[in-house]
Amino acid sequence: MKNKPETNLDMELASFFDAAKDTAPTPGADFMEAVAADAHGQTKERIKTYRRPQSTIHPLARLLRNIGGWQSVATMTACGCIGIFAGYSAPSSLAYFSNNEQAAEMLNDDSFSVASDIETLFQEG
Amino acid sequence: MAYDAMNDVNDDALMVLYANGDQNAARSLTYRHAPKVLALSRRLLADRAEAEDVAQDAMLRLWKVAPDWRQGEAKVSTWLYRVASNLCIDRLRKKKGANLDDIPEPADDKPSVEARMLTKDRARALQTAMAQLPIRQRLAVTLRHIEELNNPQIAEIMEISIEAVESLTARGKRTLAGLLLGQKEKLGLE
Repeated sequence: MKNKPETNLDMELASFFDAAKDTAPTPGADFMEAVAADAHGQTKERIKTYRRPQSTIHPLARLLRNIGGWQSVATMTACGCIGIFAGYSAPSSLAYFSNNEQAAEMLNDDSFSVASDIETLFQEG
Repeated sequence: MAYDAMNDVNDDALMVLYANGDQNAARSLTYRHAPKVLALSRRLLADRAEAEDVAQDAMLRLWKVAPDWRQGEAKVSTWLYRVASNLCIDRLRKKKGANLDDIPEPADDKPSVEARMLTKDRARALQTAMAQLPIRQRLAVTLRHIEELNNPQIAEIMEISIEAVESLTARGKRTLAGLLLGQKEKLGLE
């Protein structure tokens, strides 16, 4: 049996395969209707998805989303707090600038007199 | 487009029409493919209700994929056969072999009562023998010799090489011959 050529096997089994083809199950109307109903259901589902109104999202939630979500808000809040803290507890070096006289003294310091020295040098040739 | 006017429209175009909401296109695809998918499922599962579930599921997947269907990439029939085969194989693996008592009575036909009985008996004998085959051999033999697809199409459906298809069908037929040829006389074939 094992060494029978393919064509012989095909011929011997042909009547069985023909019988199977002749007795192919025919789909019932209910089945065909169920398939068509599924198709219709899918179309409705797609339309529903496409038409879903955007206003279902709360305006504040949309704003939050547009500015980058809670991470952005947290970052901005942290930056603001740091700014306020820096404003209220100024470092000692800033006190130097907060006094006008001291600032003027610093501006008149020797380190800023290079320009006049150069002028002198030019005049002297 | 009217349903009757769609007989000449190819499957890819019907998919586009359906994706755009045309229910006549869906009806046309259903009449064109659902019977074939059902027939394959029933032959593999040997259970009408289960076969209808599988065929309906395969068709539902087709409706779902319609908006993303890429024309010319795969044939609708090949795609459906592949989906249905995989669904059947999953079910058969869960069941571990079809129950031979569930083998369907073939549908009635027009010829004489005696000829009809013989055809039914042969189909039933084949179905019983097919149930003895490993799942993939059963699928390959069904697609090749009952659904009459060619080897490249079967290879695409089963996602294997053409040589593998040939090997599966040859082994399947040898087993079938061993199981069926002893019954030839009883089935009016000698």
